[in-house]
Amino acid sequence: MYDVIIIGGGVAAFTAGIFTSRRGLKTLIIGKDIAGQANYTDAIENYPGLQEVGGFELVSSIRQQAENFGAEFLIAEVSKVKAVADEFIVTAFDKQYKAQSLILAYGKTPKDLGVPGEAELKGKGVTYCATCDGPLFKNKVVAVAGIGDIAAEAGLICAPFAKQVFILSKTDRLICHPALNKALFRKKNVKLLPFVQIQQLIGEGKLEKMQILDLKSGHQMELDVDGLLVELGYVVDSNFLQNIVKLDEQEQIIVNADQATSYSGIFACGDAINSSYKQAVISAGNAATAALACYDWLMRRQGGIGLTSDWNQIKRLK
Amino acid sequence: MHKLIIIGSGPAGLTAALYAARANLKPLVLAGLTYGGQLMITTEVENYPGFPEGIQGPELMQKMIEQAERFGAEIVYDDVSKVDFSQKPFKLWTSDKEYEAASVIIATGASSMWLGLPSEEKFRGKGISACATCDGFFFKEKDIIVVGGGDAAMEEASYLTKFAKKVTILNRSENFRASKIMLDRVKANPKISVETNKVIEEFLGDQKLTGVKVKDVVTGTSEDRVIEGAFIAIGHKPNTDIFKGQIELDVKGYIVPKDQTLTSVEGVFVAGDVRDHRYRQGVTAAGMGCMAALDAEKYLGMDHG
Repeated sequence: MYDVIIIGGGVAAFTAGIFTSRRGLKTLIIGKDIAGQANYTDAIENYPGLQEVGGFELVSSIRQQAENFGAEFLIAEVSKVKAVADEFIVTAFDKQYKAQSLILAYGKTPKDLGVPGEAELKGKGVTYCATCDGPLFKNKVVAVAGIGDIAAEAGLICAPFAKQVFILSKTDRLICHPALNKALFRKKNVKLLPFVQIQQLIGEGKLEKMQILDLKSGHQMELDVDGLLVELGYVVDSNFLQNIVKLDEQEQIIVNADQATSYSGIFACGDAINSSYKQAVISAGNAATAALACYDWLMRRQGGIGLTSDWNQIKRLK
Repeated sequence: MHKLIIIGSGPAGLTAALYAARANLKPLVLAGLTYGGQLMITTEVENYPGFPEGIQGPELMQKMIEQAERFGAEIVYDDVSKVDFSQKPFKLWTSDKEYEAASVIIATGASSMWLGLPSEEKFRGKGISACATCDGFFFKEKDIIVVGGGDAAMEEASYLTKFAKKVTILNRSENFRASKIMLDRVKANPKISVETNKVIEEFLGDQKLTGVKVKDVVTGTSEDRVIEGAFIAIGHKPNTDIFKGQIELDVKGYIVPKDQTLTSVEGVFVAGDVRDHRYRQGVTAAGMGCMAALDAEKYLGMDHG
């Protein structure tokens, strides 16, 4: 029986593991791979404290840190989570693991365009995170393939750096918030390419051009680009939870300010939660919160002392 | 005029600076005369993710400063003495200069309250700590004291029994600010002893803390005791004096966040311990600093710049 099982294998999962095991909780981390989302990135330059670090390297070092404090790590895919009386049963590769509490940190996966060449050029000019990679396209030509506000925001992030930003749309416009639309197309280096669809991504070792279909004329053409930002949103795969916790319409886990889910004893953090911010350091931050809130919950349930804050004292004094 | 001014230079302020600089906002960081925040008085940081061997607090902060500067953040080592958020652009004053900003991130943090003894200052980070979560691990199998009588002191003492051999709580009076339930739990813990009417006169030691001089305020007598660690748990104070009347604060002086990093003033954002009285970790502050920068970037992108 573990005090806590953490499901996931990325920055959030291992950070939560540091904080639970350092608080003396018997911790098992189950992830289907190591690094998750960070694997798509060769060089992270915006993780505070590390000038430049590979995605896999960063996650491995956090994993090491969690293991140093006694957390156990198991590579396996969780297929089922069940709440029975006062405990949770987690099934992974047909084996069952029991814990008093759970932290969900299984992340998200960006939606692919689904065109030939995409898989080979991922992380080589084709990116799914404008905040992470936008500044890397300084004086380069980039295209944004996406929908809604996230595509407009990606364009706005790239515009100060890029030589040229093409916004691709299958219709005559980019449908997004009017203020964003105005701000985006006021930039001199941003141009809308209407009625187009990407058919193929082409390049040797890095993205060089895209084959594009003109939906009005039916003609094919090629567009030279250095970068492509795919902004189609994310998939959070929460099927294995079988609705034990409340999810939003994108299957993201709904949490409160203490990272608690709708089910008592289950906490969540990282990219799988219903927050619009998706950055490694933010995942690490809310994972620490989830771990400490989980500790607090366990201690109080056992009749012990959890966390307190100055503010709680004030509330009692009033 | 600056697009963005960040007040404070702990993990929250410097992470905000890193993200804002990378987004080309050319942020100005008013870092304070004593810069770097609470980690500057911490020796080894073991729980900041990404450093499995641990890292010295000041070294971590130095790395964050260099990283923010590398992307173009400007850092000024001066204290902000006054702000005016009542009109735009916002105005900020240091000892000798006036600044204008289209947006502001407040990351001024909180300060642990200390007893105020000269010998206490000498052993800070060398046996005396104000953060059990940060430093408790270093006191495995040791005799330690916790100073304070509130719920926070009870929590720290209780948590420290996971590591320490014995924990003694010293309270300056007969009365405890802690709730009865918390006090009862502490008294029931065999590893904790509770003493009332005791104050610390001096911390003793050569290079590191080895003992304390404890005075009984009723009898007036003093005695020296051998201990290896002391935790001062008499509370924290958010650094918000200059924001009084400018922005919504709670009764204890913490900034009240509206939605994540938004405050009661549009264009002023908040991150770190100055709004977090509960979790207070380096990495939680850094995460919030990142959020604040992304929110400020969004705000400025919507033509408020």
